[in-house]
Amino acid sequence: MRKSQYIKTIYILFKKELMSYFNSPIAYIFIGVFLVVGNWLFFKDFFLMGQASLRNYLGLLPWIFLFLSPAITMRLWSEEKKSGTIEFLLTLPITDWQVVLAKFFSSLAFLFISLILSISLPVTIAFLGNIDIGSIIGGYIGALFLGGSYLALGLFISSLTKNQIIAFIVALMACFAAFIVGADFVLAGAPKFAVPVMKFLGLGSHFYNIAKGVIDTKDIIYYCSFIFLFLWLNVRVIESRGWK
Amino acid sequence: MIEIKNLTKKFGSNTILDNITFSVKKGEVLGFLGPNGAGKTTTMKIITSFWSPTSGQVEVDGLDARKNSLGIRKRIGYLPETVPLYDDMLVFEYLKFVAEIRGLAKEGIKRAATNGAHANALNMKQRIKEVVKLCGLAGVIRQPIEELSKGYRQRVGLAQAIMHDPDILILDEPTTGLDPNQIIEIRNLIKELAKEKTIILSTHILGEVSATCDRVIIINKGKIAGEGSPAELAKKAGARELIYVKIKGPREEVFGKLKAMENVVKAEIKDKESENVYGYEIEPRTGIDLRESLSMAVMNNGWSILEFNKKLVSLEDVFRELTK
Repeated sequence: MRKSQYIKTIYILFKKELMSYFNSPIAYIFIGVFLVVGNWLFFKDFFLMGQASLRNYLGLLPWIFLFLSPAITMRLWSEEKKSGTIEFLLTLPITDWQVVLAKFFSSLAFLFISLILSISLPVTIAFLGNIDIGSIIGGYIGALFLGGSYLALGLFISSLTKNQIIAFIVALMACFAAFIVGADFVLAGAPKFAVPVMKFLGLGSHFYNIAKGVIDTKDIIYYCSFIFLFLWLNVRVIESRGWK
Repeated sequence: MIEIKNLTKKFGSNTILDNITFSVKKGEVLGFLGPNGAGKTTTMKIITSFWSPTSGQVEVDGLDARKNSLGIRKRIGYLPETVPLYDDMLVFEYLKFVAEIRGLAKEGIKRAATNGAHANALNMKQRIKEVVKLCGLAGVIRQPIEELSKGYRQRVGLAQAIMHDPDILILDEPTTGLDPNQIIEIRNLIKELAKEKTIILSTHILGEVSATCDRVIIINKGKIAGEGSPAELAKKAGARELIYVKIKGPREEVFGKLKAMENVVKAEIKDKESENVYGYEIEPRTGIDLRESLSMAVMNNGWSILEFNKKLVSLEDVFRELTK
């Protein structure tokens, strides 16, 4: 009973958050930009390469997400703080975890919806040749985990400021840093002992593992811990209520 | 119902609330009075669990805020000063969201209120209708919140606060920014609600306090500066009767004469109308009627009285006195 009530409350908040995306034109602009940019970047080289493969597209996703995830999360806390609705929200009989989880899952759901709408890409390619279903599913799952990590990080950063623009830019830089830290060209310049650590910490390397179609529990656990860490930090920030 | 003990709130080295202690009885309407920045809003934010105090205790309905903040929040309906609402929602959507998140039952489950929170005994549809009627929102129910006037926003905020039929209402300056008609409407609504609820409301409008509150706490610079019913407070200062008199005559001479009069505690020059016409304020010894001897004194010197009135020190003066 208590537990179902707990989940129900998260669901009510989740619904409200998701609805507020679609109440404003931002959601439609967002999805439009995502689809146009994604498709254009993909088909730009597609016929040149002459290969019925999504690998190229999946390689692009982390970069597209890098800009889109902070755009999804930037307003989630900062707008509540700016308009003062945070005072309403946090004096309701709900826990800080419930609010943070609801906000996180609504942003993830929104990302998921945009991802689903890009399904036309693999479908088109399936008509043109044989494609590896496994790698597509893996790619999408990997994209969701990677996107989830970006979102958790962006949500946390949004809770630190009243200003959406600042939230966007800082989240963008933070996501970029977290993504790039395990990339080959960064590792090349890093001290030797730090290389395995950095490679493990980087969001990118885990994504390319999954995108290859290899779903390793190690990568999943990595993403889940990354997401949990930032949701936890987010709850800490909300709890402190030091802001004025 | 509400017990506040030794509440202190600091931001850095800045003390907003300094060791405040008071309590509110069940069914009472308590008014927080104080100039801007006195600590009214801070106290309310702490009672509603939005902020935690630097030190001190808050107990609502026997629940300790540090241990059972959620239980307290269930019992309280809160209207923050800025009336924050989700602007992108329709009024109806918003009220439905509030009803849902407050745990109102969708079906007509008539469950007994178990934990002091009546919410789960209320039927959502019915309750939303009730609240809409009570707050006079029927005309704007399909409008986006961002298009509402200030008066309607205030009413939606109030509707939100009473949705779950809480025992306690905390209203932070519920009438600021409203026009006189709206102020009276909201006050009447508060009076209506006061019949069965415990209410804390803050204001810096003095008329509001005497119009709605059973008891007043005057807060200044984070401290309680005075406490009592509006009548008591007025009486406390009303013991001081003041006489204002405008006299035509040479200033220094008149002033000297007034000060030297028998039974005068204090005299001061209040204002100047023109050369030789000044207004003086005189405080007579308690219980002494000074009018006759005063007019005699003026006549005997060949001056004349142009204006004369006696006033009781009102709540306004108490307020100004205490928050100086």
